[in-house]
Amino acid sequence: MSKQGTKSFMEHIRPRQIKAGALRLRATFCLGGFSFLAFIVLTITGVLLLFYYQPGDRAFASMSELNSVLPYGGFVRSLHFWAGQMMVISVFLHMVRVVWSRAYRPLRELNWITGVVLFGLTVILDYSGYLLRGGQESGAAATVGQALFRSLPGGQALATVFFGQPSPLNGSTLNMFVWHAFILAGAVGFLQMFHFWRIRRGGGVRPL
Amino acid sequence: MTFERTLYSRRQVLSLGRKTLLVLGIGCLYPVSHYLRAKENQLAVARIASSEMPLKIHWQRLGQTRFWLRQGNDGVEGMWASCTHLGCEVSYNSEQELWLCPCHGSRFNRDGQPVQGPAVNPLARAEVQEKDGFYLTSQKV
Repeated sequence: MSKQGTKSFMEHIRPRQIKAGALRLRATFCLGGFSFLAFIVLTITGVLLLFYYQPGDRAFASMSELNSVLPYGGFVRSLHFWAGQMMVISVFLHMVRVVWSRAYRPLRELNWITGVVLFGLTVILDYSGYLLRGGQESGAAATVGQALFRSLPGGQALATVFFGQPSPLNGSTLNMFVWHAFILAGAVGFLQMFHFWRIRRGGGVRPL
Repeated sequence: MTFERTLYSRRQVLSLGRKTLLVLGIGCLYPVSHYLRAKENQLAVARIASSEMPLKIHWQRLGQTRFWLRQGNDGVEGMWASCTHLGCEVSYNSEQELWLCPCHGSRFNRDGQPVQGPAVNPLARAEVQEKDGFYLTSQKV
């Protein structure tokens, strides 16, 4: 990127002037920013968990070890869990605020659609994280998810791609792990950058 | 701007927030390094039912581990099959009665004494205990 290009990019992120009204707390309640904060916490703690989590048959055992033996392991895991729960809630409230202030109307239409996709991906990430724990309740949740997939045409193939096996009972979390940690999280990170860029183009809030 | 002057400006509060984040970030380094280094002093252990591994005079490898066991003159002996040069995994060739290192060609005799190659120290022995029909082996400290 040329020097001019860098400067113009930075001025998109941090413009000189913005509308005074956009700074009011009531305009946004900081809900989008709060979701992004949760996403940053999730990324950092998620990377830390990657060092010890063993996808596959050892999922539950490695999580138990992380929880009980490793220094600060339980803290890192709890932070990841609660940031995930908070992100689902704050993304949902963010959506409610957008509907309430009618910010989905033209000019911001594309960003509304991006946001709806992001909400869906956030929920799927939360669900897949629940499956990654590899406990009994994860197996039950996987069964429900697979049954939902199978009700779609061609759903058996989809279920195999997402869950990786015909039966969730043998407890492997490998496929779900790839989706959770790389594909879905990467897609959310990329779409968020696009989302923020569109906010700037629409004359929205100045980020910190 | 339509804001009245208050005690702190928005910029001041934000810059205080940024400094707080920096301090918190540095404060995290200690717990994070402890978390990541949790297994640095961990020693290898393995066990196998003695019925599954009838011992001989020659060294035999225990499963997929670096532990090798044999029947010595006074009880079970264990060997930790890591070359004392740079730590490659050595394996016992029962025809030559030598431990061979694939990396730099070190050789050790059957008791682990260096015969040839860059390694000058003997191979490390492993702790072996026989208990309730199991061999429990562990690295020596």
